[in-house]
Amino acid sequence: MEGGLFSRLMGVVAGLVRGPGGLMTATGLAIITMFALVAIAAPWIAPYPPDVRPPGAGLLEPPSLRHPFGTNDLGYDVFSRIVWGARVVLKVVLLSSLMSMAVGVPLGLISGYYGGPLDRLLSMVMDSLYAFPGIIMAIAVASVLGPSTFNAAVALMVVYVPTYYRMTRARVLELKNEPFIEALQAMGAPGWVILVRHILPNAAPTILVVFGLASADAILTEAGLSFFGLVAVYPQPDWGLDLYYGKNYLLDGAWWLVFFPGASILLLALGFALLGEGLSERFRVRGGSYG
Amino acid sequence: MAETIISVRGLKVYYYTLSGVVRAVDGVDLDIARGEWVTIVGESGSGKSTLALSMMGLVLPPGRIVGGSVLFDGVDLTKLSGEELRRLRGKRIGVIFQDPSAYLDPLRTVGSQIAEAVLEHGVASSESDAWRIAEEALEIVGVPASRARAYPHQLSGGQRQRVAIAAAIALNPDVLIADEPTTALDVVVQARIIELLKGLQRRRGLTIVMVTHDIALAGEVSDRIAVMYSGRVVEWGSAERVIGSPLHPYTRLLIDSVPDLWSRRKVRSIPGEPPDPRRPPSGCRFHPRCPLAVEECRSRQPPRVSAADGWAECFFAGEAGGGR
Repeated sequence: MEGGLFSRLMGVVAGLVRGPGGLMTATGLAIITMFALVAIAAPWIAPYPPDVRPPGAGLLEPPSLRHPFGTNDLGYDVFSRIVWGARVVLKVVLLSSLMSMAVGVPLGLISGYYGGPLDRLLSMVMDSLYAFPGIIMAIAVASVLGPSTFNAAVALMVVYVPTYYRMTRARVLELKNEPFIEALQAMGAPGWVILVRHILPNAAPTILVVFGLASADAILTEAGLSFFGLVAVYPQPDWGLDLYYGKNYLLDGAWWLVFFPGASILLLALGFALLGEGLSERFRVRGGSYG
Repeated sequence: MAETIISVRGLKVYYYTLSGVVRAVDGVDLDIARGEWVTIVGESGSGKSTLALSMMGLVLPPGRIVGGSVLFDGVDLTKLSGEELRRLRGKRIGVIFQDPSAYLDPLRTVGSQIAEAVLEHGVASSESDAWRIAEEALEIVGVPASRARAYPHQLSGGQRQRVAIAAAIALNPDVLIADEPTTALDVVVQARIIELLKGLQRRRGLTIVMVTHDIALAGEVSDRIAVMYSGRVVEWGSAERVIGSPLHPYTRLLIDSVPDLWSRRKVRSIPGEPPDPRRPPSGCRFHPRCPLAVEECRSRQPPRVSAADGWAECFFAGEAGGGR
């Protein structure tokens, strides 16, 4: 009767793609899927190792058939570095988004539903976190923790928890006044049942939209972190890091060193943003801090 | 008379709003017997819903019970903790509301919503038992068990109200509170829902407390009627007597305001507006609109004048026929 998790998932996706905002959702999903496939299949797609100069490769070679995105100042193949770099950015961003969700959503649910002093305290803490510019705070946290993909994910998590918290809380406040929630209370349903089985599913569309839009933002922030060397250490393949080293050769005409990493960052961010916007049209989620 | 299941004594429920204290229920006494159908009738804002819901200890903020007691089967609900009340609600006192479409979770099948409540309250021990009870409850209210897998939006308004009733009776409560259960439904569906409730009352010995503004409906289905005006029950008695020979002028005017298909009697509306519940009139609260009002009505709360099967709060209730 389940019909397989995969086919059910496909059914949901088909429903999302057909409704309003479907074109945006579909484009966004296609872009994200493409990058995900590239990241997963990196060893088979990348023609060369990302951090070794292939035999016969020149330094700063412009794009050619042998090196579609050119080579960098050390002779590494830029295309291979982009392919492997997709792993880093996706790992960091997805991990940080899941962690932000895992922290922000439950806090938002509890805060919104139970209210009281706890709600006021949490709101105050989240608002003070929110007051910092994202990139500044991420840099501060990441510099304290030291460069690694996990630490970068933690830094980004701190930045985006308030977004998930605020949007979830706002949705809970709306739902709390829905008659069916009052009816559940009247019928003696325990608070956790109302929260987990009724409010959370009804808030899920909002959370998904925030996931898309906050992840798009997180990609840009992640690029900033990696530009400053807070995600990976050279010669590990990493888009932001390549951007940092590539910029030195821009005046020498080596545009491919900044163009391809920069375009990849933008395209992936666009994919998540389109997904978020498409979903928000579909579910008619009113614009919050990312609307 | 059968045993008393709900006993309300001197109950006062006030809402503390920014624009003042709303005295929604202001000193009400009622005794409801097991297995009877009591209807609370009144205009909008008379406090009838507040009174009915407080009978299950359900007072939503900014409302508060500020005085009196509600004894349910001997237990004072006003003294129970939130957790104790929660266990009682649903299990022993069920409730259905006016707009059934708004009172069901749009994302869950109706069967799973009923089964969930059954499981939570420990009526069933396993998911499959709970599901079976949910299907049985649906059958009882006349919804085919196959509809258990339907979502609320796939059902009609009447069916949704039946589902709400099924959810309430699946737990086999002693009392069902029905807050304007048919107001949102068309007349034909309304009749069927009322018939269903009547059947449940007769066959299961269910006590029903219904809230409505429709005094004609109240007269048809209830055993006893409480007429509410501005936070007070102004008349209480058997449905037959309250409709047949009302003691309170307000009850009389309510009855006259109902259109009658068969008589040529003119429909009369009650002059004036319901009082502002934040500043109820002095003395008898009905005096500004009452055709019989005299000086005394302005200054003194009228006594409770007993009749054979109830009472009315009016200086003239003692004189036969009251407001005729």
